[in-house]
Amino acid sequence: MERKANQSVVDLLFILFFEILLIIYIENYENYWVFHIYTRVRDYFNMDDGTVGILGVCFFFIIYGARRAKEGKKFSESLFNINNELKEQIIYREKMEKILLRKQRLESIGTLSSGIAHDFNNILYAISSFNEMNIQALPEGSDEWDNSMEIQKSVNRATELIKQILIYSKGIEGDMKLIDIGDILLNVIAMFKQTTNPNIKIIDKIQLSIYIVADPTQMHQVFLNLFSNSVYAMKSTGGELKVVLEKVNSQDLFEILDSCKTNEYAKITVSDTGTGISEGVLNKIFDPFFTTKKVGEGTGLGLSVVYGIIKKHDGEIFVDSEEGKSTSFSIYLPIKKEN
Amino acid sequence: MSAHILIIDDEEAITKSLGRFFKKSGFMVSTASNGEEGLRIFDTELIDLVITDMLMPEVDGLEVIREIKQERARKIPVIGMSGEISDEIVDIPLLPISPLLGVDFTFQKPIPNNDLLNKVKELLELYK
Repeated sequence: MERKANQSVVDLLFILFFEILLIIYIENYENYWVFHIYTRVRDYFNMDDGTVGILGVCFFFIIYGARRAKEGKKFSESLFNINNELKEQIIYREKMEKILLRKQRLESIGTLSSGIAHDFNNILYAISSFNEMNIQALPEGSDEWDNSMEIQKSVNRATELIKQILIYSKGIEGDMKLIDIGDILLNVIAMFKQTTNPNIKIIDKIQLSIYIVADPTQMHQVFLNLFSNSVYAMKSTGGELKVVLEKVNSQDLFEILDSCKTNEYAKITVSDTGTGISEGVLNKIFDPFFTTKKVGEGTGLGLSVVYGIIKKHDGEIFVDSEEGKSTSFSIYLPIKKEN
Repeated sequence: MSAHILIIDDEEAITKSLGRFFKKSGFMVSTASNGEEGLRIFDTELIDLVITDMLMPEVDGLEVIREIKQERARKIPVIGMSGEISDEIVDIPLLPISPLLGVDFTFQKPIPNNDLLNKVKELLELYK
């Protein structure tokens, strides 16, 4: 602002200086052409020198005003741009706050559920241990034996569920090795291409030779769970499942990742054109036992397990969705080495 | 003479069920509901194998194992168990102090009775 004000003062001085020069020229009759045009115009409008002087001053102010107006327009344009930038920043911050809140909630649910899981394992151990003794003591095939076998089946199911919660809340140390993540993706994609209804189009854009240190079985499970959800979301309408694997620089990620473990990340995007997820549901999708599926169709652990595995691999997972239109999951995993 | 097993767990249902199972399988069994009581029994009876919970209030499983293996320097097998996630208790042998601690086997609850029985028999054979 200060710079602009100074500039207009300079402009004003410059124009005044030019006018003074012109007057000197005219008074000395040295410049024939200027004098000639001046007298012709003056006589044409039938004016005296005084009127011309007043008109000159008016003309000067009109030009000067027009210039200021132009500057003002520029100024309001830049204000508009700054305003837009601020608006974008607010939207971005709000989004980040939501992600942070979601993370904090998941962490507290994780702590809570791992405590519950610990207690349940103890309880289940007592039930199964007593029950196994009954199974051994009872005559095989008797009703009582059969009852105890049913108890055992339920205990086994509960044990399996608790294992899944623990994978979610703490992750399980897998068989970590250097893998080409694209290979695994292509494997799971091939499996889905064979088994998925043809009304769902599967598109992949996989960059190979991106190496990460990971448990291949767990990564397999991550993609399996994500693809299954996408296919489920499009099962009646059909649509497009798109899987992209690319390399991204951690410089572009420092705002969304807690801490960058490496210079480069593998970014896997799984997007579908299914039913989408509403804002209210979006905040809960990684919670254990949260499901929108009917009873018996899902346990509500699929995405929790995905979340747990990605966290255990020092990665991040984000979700974006537009209800009724699309859903997109982005996974970031640190690249360890490239061959 | 049958081997004498000491089972330590703050969950009464577990000491009761495992105690009954090992008695039925022909072992002598003592049970304790915390680490302190477990060590007291260990000092008064001739114990051949210890199965201890890892997470207990006050004297926990790690302390029990350290007392038995290091302080008392007894060459008997010790098994650690926990309802916690497996990699945490499996990590114990990976800790720098664990070779000194010398826990022989760890598992996450629950496991089938017979699997535990086989492991117990195997360890007793190894330490004979």
